[in-house]
Amino acid sequence: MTNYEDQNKILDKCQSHIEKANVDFIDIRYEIKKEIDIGFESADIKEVGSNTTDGYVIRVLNNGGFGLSIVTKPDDIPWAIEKAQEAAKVISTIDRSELADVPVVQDIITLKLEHDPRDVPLEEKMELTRKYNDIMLAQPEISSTSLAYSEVYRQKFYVNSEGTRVAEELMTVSMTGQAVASRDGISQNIRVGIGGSTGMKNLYGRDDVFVRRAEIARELLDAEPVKGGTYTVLLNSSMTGVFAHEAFGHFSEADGLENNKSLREKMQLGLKLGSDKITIVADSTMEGDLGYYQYDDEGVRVKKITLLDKGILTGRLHSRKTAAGFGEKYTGHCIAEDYRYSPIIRMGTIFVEAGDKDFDDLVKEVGDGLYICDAKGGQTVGGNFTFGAQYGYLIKDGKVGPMVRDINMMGNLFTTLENITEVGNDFHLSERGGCGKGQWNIKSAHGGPHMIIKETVVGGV
Amino acid sequence: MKRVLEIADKLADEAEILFLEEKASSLTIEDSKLRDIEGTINSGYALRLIKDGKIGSAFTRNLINREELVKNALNSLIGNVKADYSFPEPAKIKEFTQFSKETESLTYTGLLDKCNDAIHHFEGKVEGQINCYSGSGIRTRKIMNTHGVDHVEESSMFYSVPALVYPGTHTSIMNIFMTVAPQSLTHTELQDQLDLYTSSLPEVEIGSSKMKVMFMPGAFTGLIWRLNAGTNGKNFYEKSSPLVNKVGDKIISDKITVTNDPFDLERPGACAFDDEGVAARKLDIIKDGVLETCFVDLDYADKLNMEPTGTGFRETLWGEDGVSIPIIPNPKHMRIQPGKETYKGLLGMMDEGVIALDMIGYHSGNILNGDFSMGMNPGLYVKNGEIIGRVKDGMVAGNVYDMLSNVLGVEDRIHDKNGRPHPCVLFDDVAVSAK
Repeated sequence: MTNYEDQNKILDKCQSHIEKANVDFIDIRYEIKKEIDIGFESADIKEVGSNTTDGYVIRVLNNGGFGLSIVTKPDDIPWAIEKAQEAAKVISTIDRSELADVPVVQDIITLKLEHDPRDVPLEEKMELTRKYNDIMLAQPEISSTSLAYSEVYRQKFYVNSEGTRVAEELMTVSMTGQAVASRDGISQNIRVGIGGSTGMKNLYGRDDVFVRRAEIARELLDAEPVKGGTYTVLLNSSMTGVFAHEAFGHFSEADGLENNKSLREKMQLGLKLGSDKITIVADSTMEGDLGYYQYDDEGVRVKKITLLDKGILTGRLHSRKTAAGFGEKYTGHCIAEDYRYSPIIRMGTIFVEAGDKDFDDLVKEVGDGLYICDAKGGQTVGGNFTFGAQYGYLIKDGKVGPMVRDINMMGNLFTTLENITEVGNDFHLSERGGCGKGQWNIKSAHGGPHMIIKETVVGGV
Repeated sequence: MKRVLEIADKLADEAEILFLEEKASSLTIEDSKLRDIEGTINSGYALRLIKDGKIGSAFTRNLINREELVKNALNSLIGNVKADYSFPEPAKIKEFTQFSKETESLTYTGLLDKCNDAIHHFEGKVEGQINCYSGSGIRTRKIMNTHGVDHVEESSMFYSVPALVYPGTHTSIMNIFMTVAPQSLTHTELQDQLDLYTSSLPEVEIGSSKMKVMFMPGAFTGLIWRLNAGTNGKNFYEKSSPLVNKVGDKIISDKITVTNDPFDLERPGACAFDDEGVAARKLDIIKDGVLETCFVDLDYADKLNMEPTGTGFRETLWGEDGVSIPIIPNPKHMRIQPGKETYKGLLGMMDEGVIALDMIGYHSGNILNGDFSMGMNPGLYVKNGEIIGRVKDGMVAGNVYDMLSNVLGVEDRIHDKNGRPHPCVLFDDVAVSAK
C-alpha cells in the first residue's frame, strides 16, 4: 500500500520523463498492476499466483498529429517518446487533432474498502474459492466445474504537460466459472460470476448463488433448443444490461463514429431513435459500483451522462480528442485495460432506467414469445448486434412455460430501439464485467430492469 | 534467464523460464485518411518450477529483481497444484526461418505507403468508405529449463487489412493479408474484394429456412472454437467433451480433415516448439472424418497417459500477451485441410443459399456440445450461383458436428481471406434465421 509521499514521488518521476520533450502536448501514464489468481478445475486446484507488473503509455500531440507508444521497460521510455513524436509527425501531414480543454487537476485517490482483499491471506481466498467450487460440484448431475478467483489491484499515475497530476487506486475482485451438467453424453453449462469493486464484501455468504447456478445447468439437460424465428422477447435485467452495453453503448462511444460520416449522421444529438419507454444512462460516479472510478486515463474526472432520454439521443461518451472533434463537452471515458494498452473510449457502468411495470404484467403483455435470461456475451458491429442468453423460457398465453436453450438474438440498433414496448420496475446491476473492445475491461458494469422487445430475430435450429 | 534458472535450481527440483518480446507498429486509416499510429515494445518473463510434485509459477515484465521472481513462484506452491510430470528433456526441433529484415526496418511511412496502394485501387469505386489497417511486428521467444532445453526463435509479421464499408454501417468486406515480409497486394486480390463488395451492396430480406451455407475462412472462428473445445485434452480428462471415447470413430464427413500444422511457412506464426519447450509437430486431429486424437499440454498428456503434442501455449484462441496466462492446451495452428472444389465450383452448387464471410456472437450456444447460433456479418445471399445482396439481420444456427457431417464440398486451397487460414466449405441444410 503506497502512501501519498510515495505516490507523489512516482508522479515526479513520470514528470521527469516527459518534461524535456519539445512538443505541443505530451502525457505519460505509468501503472503498477498486482494480480492474484486462484483457479480450480473440478476437484483440482490448477493455479495459484501473485504477480506484480508495470509499464508506460506515452502520447504526443504535435502540430495536430497524435502519436502513441507503449513500453514495459523504463529503459525504453526514450525510444517511446521518439517513436510517438515520429508518429505524430507522419500523421500531422494528413490529419489534425485537437484535445478538448479540461480542468488541470492534481489529485491522489486512495482506496477505501470495508473488506480490503490486501488484508486477507491467500490461504483464506483459496479456501473460499474451494468452498464455492465444491458446492457446485456436489450438486446432482454436475460433471465438472471451473472457478477462478481474480484480484486486480491497479495503481495508476498520470501526468501531462498541462500540469495535471493524478494518481488513483482501483481494486476489482471476482469469482467466475462454470458448472457443467452431463447426462447420456450430453453436456450443458452455465456460467457463474460474483464480485465487484468493494473488496471482498460481495464474495462472502454467497452459497445460494452457486447452488442455483448448478441447478440451472441441470435443468438445461431437459431443455429443448429454441426454434429460430422472430419473437417478442422479455429480457431479464442481465440481458437488458447487455442490450444497453452491446447494442446501444458501443454505438454511443464517439471513437466508433468519429471517422464514419454516415453513422455520425444517424447518431446526431437530438434525434428520436427509440420508443418513449427507454432511457439509457452511463454513470461511473456511483461509489461502490463495479464501474466506479474518479479519473479516466487522460486525467479527466468522469461525469454521469444520460445517453438516451425517452428515446431521444442526448449524449455520447468522449475522449478529449473526440470531444474536440465533435465540438461536445468532455465526459471522462477514455480508459485502458492496463499499462499495455492505449486508452480508448469505454462506457464503465451503463444501464436502462427502470419503468413502472410489474414482472407479471410484462409476461401477460408478451402473450406468446420468449423470456430470455442471463447474458452469455454479445458483440456489435456498427448498428448490428448479437447477444446470447444462457437459458430462457417459452411464454405461451401470457404464462412462463418450459425452459429452452441455445438462444442468440440479433438485431439492428435503430429498429430495436423503436421496438421496445415496455420496461419493468425492477433494477439490477452486474457484479462483474468483461468487455472486449480490442482490450479487456473488467470494470464494465451494466444492468437495468426487465424489458420487452417485439419482432426480434432469434437464431435457433 | 540463465541466472534465474540457477537461483531456482537451488530451491526447486526443476525450473523453466520463458521470455517473450514483441516489438510492433500499427497504423489505422479510416475514411481514406490516416488516423492513428502506435508503436509498442511488450516483453516479459514467465517462470515455472516443480518441487515435491507441486508446481509454482510467476511472471514479470522486467528481470530487474530475479530473486523476487523466483520467490513469487515459490510462494505460489502454497496452492499445492499437482505436477506429476517433468519439464521436457532437450530434443531436436525443426529448423526454419520466418524472419524478414525488411519487416524489421519498416517505418511508419513505409506502412502508410503499403496501405495507400490498396486505398488508391478502391478510390472512386466504392459507395461506402474505405478503411485500411496495417502493421508489422518482430517477435522473439526463448525458453530454457534446468534439463538443458534452450530454444529461441525470432519471427516477423506484416499485415495489411483493406476494408470496404457498407454505407451507414460498420460492416465491411474485409481481407486480411498476412506475410512474413512486407508485400503489396496484387491487383487481382483487390479486384476480387471490390467485386464481392459491389455485388453484395443491396440489403435483402430472406426470411427463415434451411438452406446451403458456405463458410468463408473468416467465418470459421466460431466453429473452430467448438472443435477446439471438443478435442481439447482438458475436456477429455474431465469427460465433458462429446467426443470422449470416440477416438477412431468417424464423427463427421470424410471430406473433412482437421490438422494442427505449426510448420505452415506460407503465413506468419509457424513455430518449432511450444511454450513448454516441447518440439512442435504436425498433428491430424480429425482425418477424413475420423477422430484421431485430442491435443494436450504436458499436464494433460500426463493425466491422459499420452505423448505431448507440442500444443502447450500461454495463449487462448483470442491471443493474450503470451506471458501472464498459465499454460493451456491450444492448437494454435488448427486448420481445415483443402478439398477438391474451386470457389467458383462451390458457388455454382448453390441454387439458393448464403455465404457467411464473418460472424458476430461466437460465444452463444453450448460450446462444449458444439452448438452455435451466430450472426452473419455479413452474410451474402446467393441465387442460382450468383450473389444477389447481403442478408438483413441473418443468423445461422446448429451443431458443429451435425453441420460438418453435411458437407457438400471443400475448396481446394487454404487462404487467409478474412483472416483465418482455412478453405471455403459448403454445407447443406443449415438453419438460417433472418427478417
